[in-house]
Amino acid sequence: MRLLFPLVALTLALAGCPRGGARQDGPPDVRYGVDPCDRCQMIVSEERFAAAYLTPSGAARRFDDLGCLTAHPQERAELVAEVWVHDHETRAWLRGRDAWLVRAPDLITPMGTGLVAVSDEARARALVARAGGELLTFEAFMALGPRAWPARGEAP
Amino acid sequence: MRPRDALLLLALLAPAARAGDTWTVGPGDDLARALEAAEDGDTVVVDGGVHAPVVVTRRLALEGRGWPVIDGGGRGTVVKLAAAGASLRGFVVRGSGSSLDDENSGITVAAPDVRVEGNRVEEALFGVSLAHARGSVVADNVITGKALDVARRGDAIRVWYSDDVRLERNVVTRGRDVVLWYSAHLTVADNEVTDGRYGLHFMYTDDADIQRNRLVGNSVGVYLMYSRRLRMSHNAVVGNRGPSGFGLGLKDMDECDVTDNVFADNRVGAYVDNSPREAQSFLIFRRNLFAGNDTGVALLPSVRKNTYSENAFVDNGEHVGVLGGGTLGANAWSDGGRGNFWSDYAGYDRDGDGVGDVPYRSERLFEHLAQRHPELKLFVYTPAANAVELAARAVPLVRPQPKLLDDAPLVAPVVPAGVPRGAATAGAPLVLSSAGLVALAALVIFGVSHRGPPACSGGTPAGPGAILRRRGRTAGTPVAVSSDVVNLEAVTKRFGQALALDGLTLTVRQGEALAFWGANGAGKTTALRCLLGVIPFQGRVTLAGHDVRRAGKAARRLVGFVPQELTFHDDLTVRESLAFYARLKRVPAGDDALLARLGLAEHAHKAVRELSGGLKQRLAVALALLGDPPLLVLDEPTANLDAPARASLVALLAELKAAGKTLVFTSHRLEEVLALADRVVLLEGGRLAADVPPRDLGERLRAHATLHLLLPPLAVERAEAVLVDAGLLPTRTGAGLSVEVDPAEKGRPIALLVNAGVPLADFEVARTGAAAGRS
Repeated sequence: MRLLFPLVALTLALAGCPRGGARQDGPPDVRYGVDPCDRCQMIVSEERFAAAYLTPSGAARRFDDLGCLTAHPQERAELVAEVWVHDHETRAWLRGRDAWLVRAPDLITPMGTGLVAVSDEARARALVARAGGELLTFEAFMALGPRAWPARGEAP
Repeated sequence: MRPRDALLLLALLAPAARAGDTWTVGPGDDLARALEAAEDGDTVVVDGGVHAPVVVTRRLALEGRGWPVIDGGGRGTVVKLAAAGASLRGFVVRGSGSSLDDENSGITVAAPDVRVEGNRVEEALFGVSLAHARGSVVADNVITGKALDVARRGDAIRVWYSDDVRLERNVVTRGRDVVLWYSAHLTVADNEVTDGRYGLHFMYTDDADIQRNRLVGNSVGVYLMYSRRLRMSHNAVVGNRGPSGFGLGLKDMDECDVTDNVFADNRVGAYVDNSPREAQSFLIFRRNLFAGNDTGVALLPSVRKNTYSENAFVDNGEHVGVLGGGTLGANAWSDGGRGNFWSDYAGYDRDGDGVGDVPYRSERLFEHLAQRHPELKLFVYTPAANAVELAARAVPLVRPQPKLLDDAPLVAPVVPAGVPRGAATAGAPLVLSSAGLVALAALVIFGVSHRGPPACSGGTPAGPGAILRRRGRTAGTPVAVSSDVVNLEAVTKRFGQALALDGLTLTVRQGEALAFWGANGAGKTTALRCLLGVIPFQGRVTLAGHDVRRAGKAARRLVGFVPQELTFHDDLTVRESLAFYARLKRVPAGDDALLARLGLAEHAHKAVRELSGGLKQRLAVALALLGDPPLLVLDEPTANLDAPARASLVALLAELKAAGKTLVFTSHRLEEVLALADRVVLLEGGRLAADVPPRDLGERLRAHATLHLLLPPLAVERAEAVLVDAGLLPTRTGAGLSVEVDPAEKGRPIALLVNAGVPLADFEVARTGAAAGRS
C-alpha cells in the first residue's frame, strides 16, 4: 500500500494537467503526422484541412477534417469557445467566424466531406465556381454535425 | 493485318486501320501519336524506350514489352486512362508532379472497366487513382511513392466512386494511404502495403472483401469506417506503430466479420469505436491472433454487441483495453461454449475438453489506472506498475471491477491458417515477421518474447559465468552476484480449491541440470509456469536475482523455453522461422553455426511441415537458444518423440549442458533423467517429496508394483480418466490398463474403479520393479 500511494498521487497530479498545449489566445499547436484527430483518430497530416476548437476550459480538440470538427461537439455534447480552421490555399490559421466555408463534394478532403475554408469571399466564390458546392455560414457549418457526411449508402 | 510500325502507319495516314489491329511502337517512336491513330479495340504494343505522358481516350490495350518507360518528368499526371475498357500492362510509369492540390498521379483511371496490371509505378505522388471507374481491376502492380515526408505524399492507390473494383496482388510501399471510399462491392486481396500511413482506409464501402493482404510497418494497418458487411480474413497486420498505431481500426461499422487474421506488434491490435453502430447489428472477431501488441483490442466503453471467440491473445502489454475506463459487459467473450485463449490465463482444464474450468478475468489494476490516465502508460513494465499489482493483490479493496469475463477460456491457442507469408519483393525481416507470428504459441505462451536484446549477447554458447555477465535489470542497476540461477522460495499455487504447489523451495545453480519428476497433477508444469512468472502465485521466484514478477521482462530475457506442445507455422522454412522469432525477440537471428549445432543446417530451407517430429523439437530448441539465454526450461522435451529422436535430443541437451547452460526440465523417462540431470526433484501433490541425485530415483521407483486391470473395451477410457483423476498413471494395454502403485496400495485402483461404477473383469499384480512412469 505504501508503494501504491505515490503512484496514485502521481495519477491524480497528471490527471489535473491540461493536454495539448492549448493557448487561450490562439490556435493550438498541431503536430502534423503525429497528433490523432480527436474524433476519428486518424492522424492529422495535412495542414490545409486541419482544424481545431477550444473548449471554455481551454482544452484543445484537433481534427483532420472540418467535418470531424463540426461533428465532434454534437456527438460529445461539448461546448465550443473558439473554432480555428486553415485557409485551404494559404494554410494560414483563421478564426472560424472569420472564415468563408465551402462545401464542395468533389474536393477530396481527409475524411471525404469536401469541407474547406478560405479567408475571403472572392476566393470562396471562385472555389465554388471551380469545384461546385456551396458557401456555408459559420452557423450553418457548425450545425452540420455528423450530417457533414452523407447518409450511409448514399453518394455525397 | 500484321503488326507494323506506328509511325509508318501514321505517315500513310493508316487508312486501313480497323478495330482489333495491333500497333507497334519502338523506342524512338511517338507513343502519343500512335494512340491518336489507334481505334477502339486496338492493341498498342510498346517495345521499350522512354515516352512522354499520355492520355488514353479510346478503348485500347497498351502492352509494354521490355519495360518501356512513361516518364512525367516531375510534372503533372503521367498516364490517364479515360476510356472504358482500356488497359495498361507492362509499363514503368514514373515521375509525376508533386502537387497534392492537383493530385498529380502516376496513373489515373476515369472510366469503367479499365485494367491496370503488371506495371511499375515509381516516384509518383499518387500511384494509381480511380474515380468513376466501376468494374476496374488494379492487379500485380508494384507502386513506390516519392521519398517525401508521409504528410506530403499522395495516396498509393485511391478508389473513389467506383463499385465492383478489384485490387489484387499489388505491392505498395512508401505511399500515404490506400484509400477506398464511396465504393461498394470491392475486393482487396493478396496485396502488400508497407511504409505508409494507412495501409487500407475504407469509408462508405459496403460489402467489401479484404483477404490475405499484408499490412506491415504502416502508421495504421487497416481503418474501416462508415460501412457495413465487410469481411476481413487471413490478413497479416504487423508492426503498424504510428502515433495511433492501430492494426485495425473500426469506426461506425456494422455487420462485420473479422476472422483468421494476425494482428501482431502493433500499438493496438484492433481499435473499436461505435461499432456496431446500429442496434440490431453485430461485429464478430473469430480465430484471430493478437500477439505482441501494446494493447490487443481497445474498445471505447460505449461499444456493444461485439463477439470475440477462439481468438488467441498472446503476450500483449494488455490484452483488452477500455479507452476511458469501464467494463465490457455488453460484449460476448465466448460463443457456443468456446472463449478465447489468453496467455496469462492461470486456470486448468480438468476434463481435457480444451476449455478452462475457471473463467478468465481481466482485472489488472495498473491497466485500469492507465486507461483512465494514459500518461501512466509511461510506467508500464516498471517496478511502479508491479508495485501497483502487488498492492492490488495484497489489498483486495483496491482491485478494480473486472473489465471482462471469459467464461470458457481456451487452454490452447487456435492458430489462424492461410495468412500470407509475404512476397519476395519485400524486405526479408518484414516478410518473415508477419507470417512467422502465426507460429505463436509454443514460444510466447509463457511470455518468453524478449523486448530487448540481452545486455551482453555474443554469439557463443554461454560458458561458466555467463549468467553473471548477462545481468542488468536496468542500466546501472547492479544485481547481486550469485551462482544461483533459479531460486524458488515457498512457492504456493492454488487453482480454485486445488493446491497445485505447496510451499516449494529450491535453488538451481549455474550450469546445473534439474529435473522435475512426478505424476500427473504433481505440480511439475505448474512449477515451470511459476518459474517463468506467467501465472500468479504466492512466494518468490528469482532468476539470477531478477524477481520474475517485479522484473519479469529482465528475468525472462534469461530464459529459453521449450514447451511440450509445439506449434509452428508449417509454411515457413527453418531459417525463416529462426529469423522471425529473432525479430520477435529482438535478438540477432541465429546464424549457420546455430543451425549446424542443432543438426538443422541441411534442413534450413525446408518448410517446417516437412520436418520430422525430432527435427521440429530441435527447431524448438534452436528458437529457445536465440539470444543465447543462459537458462533453458523444457517441459517434457521428448514426450512426443520416437526412441532414436529421443536419444538424439538428449545428446544435444547434454552438449548444451556441457557448454554451460543451466537446464530445468520435466520428464517421465528415467533414462533421460539419468543422462542429463544433476538433481531430481520429486513432486507429490504439489509438495517437494525429495531432492535427490538421479541414481537415487531408480531406487525409489523400484519399490513400486505394477497392477494389470482387465477391462471391457468400452470401459477403458472411463477407467483411465478415473485413475488419472486420482493421480495415478495408467497405461493402456491390449486388455485394459496397467498402473504403477505403491505395493501397500494395490487395492486402491480397484476401489476407485468400483466406486466409479467402472466394470472390472479381472486384475493381477504382474511384477514389481522399476516404474515406467508417465505424466
